[in-house]
Amino acid sequence: MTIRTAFEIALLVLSLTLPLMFAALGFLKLSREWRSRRYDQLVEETRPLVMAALDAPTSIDLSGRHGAAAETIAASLLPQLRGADRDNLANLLEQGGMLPQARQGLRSRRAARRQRSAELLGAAGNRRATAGLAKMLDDRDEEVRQTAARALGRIGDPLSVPPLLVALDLKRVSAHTVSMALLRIGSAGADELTIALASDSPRVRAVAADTTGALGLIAAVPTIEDLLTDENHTTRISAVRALGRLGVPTATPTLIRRLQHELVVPSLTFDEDYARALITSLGQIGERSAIPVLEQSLMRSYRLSSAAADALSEMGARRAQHSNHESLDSEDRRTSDSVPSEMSDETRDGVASTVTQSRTPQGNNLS
Amino acid sequence: MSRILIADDDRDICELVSFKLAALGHHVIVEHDGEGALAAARTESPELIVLDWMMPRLTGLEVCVALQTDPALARIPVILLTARAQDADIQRGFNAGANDYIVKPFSPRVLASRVHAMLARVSH
Repeated sequence: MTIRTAFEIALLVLSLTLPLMFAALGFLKLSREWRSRRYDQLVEETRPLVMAALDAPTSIDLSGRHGAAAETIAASLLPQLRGADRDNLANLLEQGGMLPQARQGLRSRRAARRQRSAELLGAAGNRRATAGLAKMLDDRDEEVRQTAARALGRIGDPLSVPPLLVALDLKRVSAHTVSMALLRIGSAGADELTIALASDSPRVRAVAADTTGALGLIAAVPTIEDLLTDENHTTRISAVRALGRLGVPTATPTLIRRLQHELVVPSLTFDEDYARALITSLGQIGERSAIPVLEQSLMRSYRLSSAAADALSEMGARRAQHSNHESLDSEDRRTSDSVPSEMSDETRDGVASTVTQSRTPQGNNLS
Repeated sequence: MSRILIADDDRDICELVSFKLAALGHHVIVEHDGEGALAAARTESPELIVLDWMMPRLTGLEVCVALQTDPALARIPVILLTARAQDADIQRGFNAGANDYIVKPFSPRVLASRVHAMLARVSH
């Protein structure tokens, strides 16, 4: 056989194969579209059944061909619902075998399946999944770990607080995701959070301080005060922020001492973010004893002076509110009247001017 | 029986809310975008509108403002049903003309009660 003949045969085979390949591709595409349409139709058929089952969960069987469609609908609905309907929907999924399947799915070899299962279990608030999801915080896939942490937050079981904090310490899950999960778990995890304030890990201490502040766990105030001199910058600021949010007046003397100390330290070791956080927190707590140190801060950098002006203004506005003053009609008048009356005239004018500047575009350019 | 318009781009939410309200004997009209909601408000004369904020074409807030500027539609009470939960969002919702504001995740039973209460208030 000559080379020419071999080439001709190859060309013939190719010319016969190509149309077949195109036909096969077209068939695959059509079949995928048909399956997708059939599934959409099944979802449409299943939707009224799911809705009816919310009022009478035991009367409708959603296993069988409606099962997968019911899972799709439930996964979309569950995060948007609360109350009895959410509980009924979760019960329906448990009885229909979807939640048991999802719990098994947490051990799937496919990351997408593990993630989907975690999402469904979290949305359903399925406490039986807590242990499985806690193990997933060490998953090899980062997205799966983040999803597991979010799911644990939605479930709200306080038993998941320690594994979440371990995942935070080992940097397996982001601080933001862990914080959000801890906030969702809420005061049920208060004991574990208070213990975490004394953790060896600065990441854990910082997140624990922020969370205790946001949750209003006043019993943790003495431990948070100890963190004001923490070796870690982020932890110190989180502790200050937490005390401000908690608004406990007994924390004021400690915050004042820290701010006074910051205002006299040499410029090389001066921590402006920390000082600014102290000023803001003193303003949030609103004790009059903080006024002198806030006045002192007015003489510092633009960032500190504007924070101090805002803090003094906030204190004045709150006092004005308490006194049931009439609402004021002009910006200038509001600014000058919202400054606490204990201040000297000179300081009152200074604060009013700084607040006005910080509220105008020109004022923002001063930095 | 009252005519209630529900506008939400999430079909599951529309189905759920309309199922709950239909079970209470209301006639429910469903739309999945802002333009459709505004058109339905003009043609169907609903007695109350349940409106999502984030919708294609026109947002729920824009629909609210459009309803307020049309004298024929301005009196229809609107309940905003949205995932936007910030204080500023709630203020914007009421400023745009909403009569009530419900944050997702929500309880469909509570929504049905609020619809009932608002319809009772309007009818008196």
